Amino acid sequence: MSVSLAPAVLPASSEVLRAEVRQFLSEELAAKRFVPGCDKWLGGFDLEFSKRLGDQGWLGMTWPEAYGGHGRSALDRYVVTEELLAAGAPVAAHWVGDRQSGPSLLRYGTEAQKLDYLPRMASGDHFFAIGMSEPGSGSDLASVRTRADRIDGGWRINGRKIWCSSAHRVDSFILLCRSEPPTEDRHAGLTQFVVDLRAPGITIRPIHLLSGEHHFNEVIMDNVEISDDCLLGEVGSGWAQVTSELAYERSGPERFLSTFPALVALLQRLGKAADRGQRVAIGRLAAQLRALRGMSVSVASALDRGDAPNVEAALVKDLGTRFEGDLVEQIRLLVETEPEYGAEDELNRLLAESFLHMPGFTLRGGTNEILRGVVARGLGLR
Amino acid sequence: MSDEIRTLLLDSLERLLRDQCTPERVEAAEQGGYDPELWQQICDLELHRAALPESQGGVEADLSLVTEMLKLTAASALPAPAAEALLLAPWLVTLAAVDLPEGLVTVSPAGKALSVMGEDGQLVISGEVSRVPAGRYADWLLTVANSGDGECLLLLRQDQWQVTEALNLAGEARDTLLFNEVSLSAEQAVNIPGGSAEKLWQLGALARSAQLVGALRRAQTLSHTYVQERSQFGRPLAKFQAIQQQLALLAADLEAASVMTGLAAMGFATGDNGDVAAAKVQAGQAAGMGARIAHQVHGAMGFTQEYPLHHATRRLWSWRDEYGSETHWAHRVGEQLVNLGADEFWPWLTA
Repeated sequence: MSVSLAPAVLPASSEVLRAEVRQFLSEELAAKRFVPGCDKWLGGFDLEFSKRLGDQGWLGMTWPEAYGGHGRSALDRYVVTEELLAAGAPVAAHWVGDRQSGPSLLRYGTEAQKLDYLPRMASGDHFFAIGMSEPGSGSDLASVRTRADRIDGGWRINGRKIWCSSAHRVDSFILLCRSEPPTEDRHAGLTQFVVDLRAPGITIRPIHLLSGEHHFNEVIMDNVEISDDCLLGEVGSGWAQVTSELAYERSGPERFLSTFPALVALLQRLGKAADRGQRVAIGRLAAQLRALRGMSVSVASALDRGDAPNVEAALVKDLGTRFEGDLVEQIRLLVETEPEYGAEDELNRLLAESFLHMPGFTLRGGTNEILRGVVARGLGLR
Repeated sequence: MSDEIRTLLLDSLERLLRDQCTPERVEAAEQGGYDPELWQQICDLELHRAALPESQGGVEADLSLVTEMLKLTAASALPAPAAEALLLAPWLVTLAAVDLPEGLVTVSPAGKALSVMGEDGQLVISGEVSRVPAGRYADWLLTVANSGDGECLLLLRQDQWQVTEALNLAGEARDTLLFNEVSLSAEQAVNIPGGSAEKLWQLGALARSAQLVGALRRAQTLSHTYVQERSQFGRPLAKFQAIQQQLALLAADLEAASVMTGLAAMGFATGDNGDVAAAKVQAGQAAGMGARIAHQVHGAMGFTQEYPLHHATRRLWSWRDEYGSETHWAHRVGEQLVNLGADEFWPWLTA
């Protein structure tokens, strides 16, 4: 059995940074430059807000200065991230690039790719989407069928990608393709590319969320020709490259804070008039949140030490994303409210945003059932 | 304290428990939950003094270490009041700067139920203290009471009380001790700082959280072993996704409780920041959920006294209600947050 998580706290030095982020956010709110919302790391697309974060040095924080980054620790980045999420700030534009495309480029990209993309991403001038999932491959990512065929000096791409966040508004995506016909080793023959979303042959079709928001897209590639410069990492190493990102993707604060603003709004609404039952419920949620954050910080610290806590990260995501839903389910039973999308009342509005986004919490980043399979393997049960 | 001493203490305790604290022995200590010979072996290793300062023969074991020890004793269902004797009693005597009494020392958080009359050096106590762990076996009871001039630590002797026996769901003694106008000698009541009773309550909750984590770890281990050995429909239970998913849920709740308890132990000295409350809520919740899953994957086998799972699960069902249930601690957190106000919620969480 190999699951174990050493309890850890953030270093005291991060707290100076935390104060700076809080100051920035309170100024943004005072100037009404954003409206706090739930699940804004998915739905809160605001290029200017992202640009202002870039100006503060809070994008690409952990990347080397040579590539426009700021050479800070992953735990510093954790502090900035959790502060932004707790405030319900619109962080969707840079989210994917900052969390995973950038680190992938840093790890697998050529020098030219790093110099080309990373500085623009860190300044808030270039944004990324994900090109992994397909209409025919949900949880079974290795079944992707988008093809990359060799042509003179490059590759020709044909296929369809789905759930591409903000592909209609961002600049590039990292595309996972099958570059060789499938063999018995399903994980072989996959290759990643960095592709310009405005390239000829690409069509982007909106997929609307339950709330009506246009966030997801289907990206259809019809004989898209890209040069060899677009290859990311090694030909045939796509699977290993994709899965190496997962611990970062699964254990971050976005896996338990997506509905947090609703809990703050509940406290706001009830104030000191909260009765015993409401106090118990709030306290219970707060205690669970404290434990989840403790786990998430402990995983972040393990990552920072160079460990690979993949199983522990899967645990955080399973618990945390269920909590995100439980939180709003409990709130609706604590107060008289009828959630309404875009309602003037803050709590009603936040609940509506949460419920309409809720089915996604336990699906994105690997469904919770798949993650429990990962955990079971880590426990030696499969 | 050095890592070397830490490892030494944990290894020697683990070895002793593995060799001596067998399921048969635990079974034999049912109806009271105390095995004096086994406890003597713990004392022979001086483990009951580990948390004391060096001047008292201890090694000043910190809370992280002592809670690790409690996880081990709980995982083995050690028939003894481990939390009371390894952690709470040493903490109280250190606080009061008195010697640890000889013999089996237990602790109760319910001393405020006692009436303490009289002047300095001439105190008389009356009343009863209920649900005292190992009350019938203890040589000493340490508890915190209110005297005329604030809180005091009482060090009460076995010949000063009458016992009414009671058990928790795990068969551990939780006795009522009756004090009928008992005169105390001067050294039996020691003034301690105000707020100590509250601190004892929190430390007890932390100790129970650690014990819950330890007992749940045991239920988990038994479950993993069982589902790999037991075959149904031609394959081990472990190969069924339905079983894997259940055990993954157990693991998630257990790790959350474990991390939270570890954080509460690390931060205990710096004051009440909500970590203990969060630990007890999480551990209590994990206990109920984990016991349910462990029994479910064991099928009818785990539901009998012939199989040792119940040594873990009956403790889970008992300890989660001791030193405050999830509701008790959640209410405290809720009170604190309502008083702080919405704007201070996030700062509270990240403090």
